[in-house]
Amino acid sequence: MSQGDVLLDVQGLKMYFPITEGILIQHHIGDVKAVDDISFTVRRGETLGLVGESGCGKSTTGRAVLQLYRPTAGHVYFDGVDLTTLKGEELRRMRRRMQMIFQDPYASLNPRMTVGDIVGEPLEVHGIAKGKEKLDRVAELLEVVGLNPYFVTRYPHEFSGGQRQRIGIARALAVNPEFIVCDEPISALDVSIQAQVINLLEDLQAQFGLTYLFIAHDLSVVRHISDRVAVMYLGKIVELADRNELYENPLHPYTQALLSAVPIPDPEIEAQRQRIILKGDVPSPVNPPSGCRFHTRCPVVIDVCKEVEPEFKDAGGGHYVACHLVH
Amino acid sequence: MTKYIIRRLLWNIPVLFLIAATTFGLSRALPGGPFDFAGDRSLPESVRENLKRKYNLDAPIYVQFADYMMDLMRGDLGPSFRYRNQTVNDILKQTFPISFQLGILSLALGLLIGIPAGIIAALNHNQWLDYLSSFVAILGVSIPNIVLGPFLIWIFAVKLGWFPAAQWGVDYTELYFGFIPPMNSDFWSHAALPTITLGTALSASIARLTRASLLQVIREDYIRTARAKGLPERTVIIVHALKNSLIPVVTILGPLFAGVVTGTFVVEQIFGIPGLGRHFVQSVTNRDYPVVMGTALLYSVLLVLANLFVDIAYAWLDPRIRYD
Repeated sequence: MSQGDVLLDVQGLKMYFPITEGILIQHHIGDVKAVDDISFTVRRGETLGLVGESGCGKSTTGRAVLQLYRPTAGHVYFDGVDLTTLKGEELRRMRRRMQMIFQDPYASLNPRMTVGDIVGEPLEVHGIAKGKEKLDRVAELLEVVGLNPYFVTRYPHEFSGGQRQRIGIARALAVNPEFIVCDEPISALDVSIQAQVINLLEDLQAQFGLTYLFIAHDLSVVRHISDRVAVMYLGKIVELADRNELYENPLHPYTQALLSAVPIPDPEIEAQRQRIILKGDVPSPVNPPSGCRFHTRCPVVIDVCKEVEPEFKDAGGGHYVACHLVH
Repeated sequence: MTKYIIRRLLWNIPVLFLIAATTFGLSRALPGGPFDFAGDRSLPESVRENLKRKYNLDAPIYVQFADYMMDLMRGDLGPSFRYRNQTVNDILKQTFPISFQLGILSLALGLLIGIPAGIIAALNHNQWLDYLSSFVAILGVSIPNIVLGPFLIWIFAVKLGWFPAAQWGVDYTELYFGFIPPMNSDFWSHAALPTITLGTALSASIARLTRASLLQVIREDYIRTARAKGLPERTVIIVHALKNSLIPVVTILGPLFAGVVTGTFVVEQIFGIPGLGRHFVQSVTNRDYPVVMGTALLYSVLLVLANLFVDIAYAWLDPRIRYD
């Protein structure tokens, strides 16, 4: 993989949600450390997959990158501009260049607005198109995502899940963004529809030169669509590598356990598949374990893991991993 | 939609008939009669019998009801037994417009204060502005009109002398089309205190409802979508959130409207307003059957119509609601 120029550079991103107690006077009694000091880059035109189990902070990362949550600490450089320092109008203008496709196509479209309004609204607020021009552009966008342009006057509830997700994609594309965060865009869809949406996303990437941060928990899908893949566990990125490298040569024990859970579509090989079963539950992000966060469940844990937090660094060839056994 | 409205209107006919029959039966089931007393003297038996015969009260009750319904078809609500020279139509014509004016003004004030207050509270959820507005809202709901009214009179009429203490500024004879008051200073100065009295409680409950409903809506995913689009916060709230959160407010507006425009006994008594409110109460104690019927029917008609409008407003607010 050539070192393309970096579009998104995330450094030391932290997103803590405060926990408070009390009704009139609120005491700050702790934080949910949803994302705790992560760094990664996304190159122009590539797809970075972000995987991990539920609650590990994938979606929070996506939202904090786009400043839908204001990060607690860290920097997010988008094409050289630090988004965390932007406010109000400046940030609003940047939104033209970065968009998001949401997980739940049922909840993320305003039920009171027609498809035409949902897709066309960003055109108007960003001063891209108005009136007739806007309608033409909306029709064009609907066509691009494989919907009948005739649907503009309909409301979201009149569509199926897959169609709604296409509306969400058309909406995100409306402003001609360079970067799109896809927050589990297919996990709420039927399996039969998932492939269609994935193919659509790939076609659009080729057509418009888009850059994706693709968040998912389906490892096969991520392998299919991503150029590089990052694995998250409890608010941290534990491993990041080129797709094939990661899937064929996982270094982190957590990645190994995750990958061993992927079924293989060949009954003979599948019968011999050795699963690494992790014991116990994911610890609470309020009080994450000391040292390596994975040490409570790690099958190959050694003493140092409980004391010292492993550094996230290159193990060779751009394969980043945070594990004492590797370094 | 037109079909739906026509069907709903037709359905209201049996509803109103049932209300009329029940009210008719219940009012006559009350012990005593309209002619038991004249002032504080009781009337002689023979006079009472004559009066009863005059008003056809000695006929069997189903005959009376049939007669009443026949008159009602012609728009005649009958004579008042208590106000000897007036028909029920006269009473409604003179008092209802006054109550209606007060009711509409109070409702407008309630919405004008209640909705923005609810929005401000919701947007500052769990901050001091929220606590302040919730506190004031609870205060507004809890202080009864019978306390707030005299209190306002004492301060603004007696002490400061800004507004008249009582009466309504216009007479029913001055109304345009028998309904619309001349918008002169006399009207406004008389309307101010009772409107504030009645509007305070309304705005408080509207504010609480708006706040609760908006708090729910601003947590929805599509609000995040709207922000991700890069919309200004004002557009996110007004266009995306507010319309979605107005349904519960619209729901209570129907019954609220019917209740408030037909007059409020307490407020009209405190301010000496010649409205319809007192007739709801006095007609029952006087056993003035035709007035009982007239007020009850007027209220029911307004209530069913208001609810019809609410249902039509739903369809406008929420495209998922469609009638055919």
